[in-house]
Amino acid sequence: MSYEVPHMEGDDKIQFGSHREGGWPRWEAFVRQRGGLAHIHSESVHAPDAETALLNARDAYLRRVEGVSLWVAPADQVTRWESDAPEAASKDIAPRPSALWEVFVRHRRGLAHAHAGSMAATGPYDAIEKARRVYVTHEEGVGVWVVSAATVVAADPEEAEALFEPFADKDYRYPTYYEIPDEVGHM
Amino acid sequence: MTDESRFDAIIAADDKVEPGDWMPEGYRKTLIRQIAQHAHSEVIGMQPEGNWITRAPSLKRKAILIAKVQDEAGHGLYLYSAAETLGVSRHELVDLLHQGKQKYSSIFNYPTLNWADMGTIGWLVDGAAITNQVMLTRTSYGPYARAMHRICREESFHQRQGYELILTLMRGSEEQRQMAQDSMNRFWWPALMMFGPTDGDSPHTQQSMAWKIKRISNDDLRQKFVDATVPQAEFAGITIPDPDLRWNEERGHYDFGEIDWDEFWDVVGGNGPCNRERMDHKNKVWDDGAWVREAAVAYAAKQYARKSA
Repeated sequence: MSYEVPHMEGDDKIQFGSHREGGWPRWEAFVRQRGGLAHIHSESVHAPDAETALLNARDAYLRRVEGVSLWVAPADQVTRWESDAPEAASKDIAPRPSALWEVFVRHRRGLAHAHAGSMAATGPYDAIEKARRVYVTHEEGVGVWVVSAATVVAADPEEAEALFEPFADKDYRYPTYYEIPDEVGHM
Repeated sequence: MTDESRFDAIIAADDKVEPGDWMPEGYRKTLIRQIAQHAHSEVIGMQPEGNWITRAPSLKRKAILIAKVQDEAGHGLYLYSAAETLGVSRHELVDLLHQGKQKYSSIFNYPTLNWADMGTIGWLVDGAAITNQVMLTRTSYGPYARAMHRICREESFHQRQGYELILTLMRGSEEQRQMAQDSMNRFWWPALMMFGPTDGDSPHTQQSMAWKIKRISNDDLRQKFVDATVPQAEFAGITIPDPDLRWNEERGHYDFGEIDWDEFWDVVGGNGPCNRERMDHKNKVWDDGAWVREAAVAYAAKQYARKSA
């Protein structure tokens, strides 16, 4: 569905971003499409808790058989670094005991962040620093996200069937279900 | 390199701008406005189709329609999520819709009066949308382009099921053929209006195209849609309600009649057949659903308290 909504009077007076906070917290969602592939960022969902975030992400990003595993992480817990804004890199104020951090790399502009691996670090900026050394060499990455492994919530593999399988027999969700004569062109 | 020259270089190289990048304030505002109104359109677009779920003529058609309406909700979510990378909250955008400060596509201000409308919406309305959205997969803002890729993959199902529904009716009884024709008669012109004002009346197009947010002008997209749709209508044996429609050998395109721009601006201005009804319904379900949102928050708080106890 789409549109071209013409500009109307008053349109340009709206100040975005000045609004009170409200609504549910935002969670970044990551989908593994098939075994052997990395978890790829699929934009975000809103939910009051991780459990609901997983369900919402399933409904938003996995309505067809397009995934075997799903992660969510609170968006405000993700620390972000972009290669074009090196000044944004910073130091951890209070290093913590070494813990595990998940690393997601944007390999080039236009691509979503992909899970690259996990590493031990004493804070988000330490993790970014290390991730850049390991994953952003030879111009292979333009952005890095790190998030403490403890805050990433994965869909229970035991429940994978209940989460992802129901869509398997809904073949009417696919374009190929409908026979369209060749004469009418691509649709 | 300054911020601005870096941004210009990204656009010139046909590369994608990503959320962490510096961008001109106008670029950011244009994107928020466009993506938000696109998201609102998806959400409001559930109403005209939702209208027929309980009256679908078979279980199969009902399942298809439910899946389609669910997709529209999903598309709304992808788009709000893309808009949020620009420093706004979904909450804020939804508020703007509820207050009538932001609009959605006028096509949803037309009523769905018969079952054939479920076919026509898929074929023509989603077909027009796809024409626009295929272009938008090449838009310069990364999150918007990625949302469009996801949406286009799903829209193909929408358009094909719609056309197949119309073909089925056209091969049915005289009554069914009349129903399909009646639907075509009501939706053809509003579908053409979906591409927006003519290029001459679309003062923001030039800047949007310079920023590569938009890649093709309104009139060119409209022409593309007409050229693709006429052979489909001919094959189905359905008549497009435009006496001026004919193939122009010289141009290599179909010529078509003048759009009723008075009607267009009237509906945009709030006076379409269903403007009031759509917004009243949207606000009502938002208010009626408050207890669900509150219950979900209460549940989350309880879980959290239990864990930290």
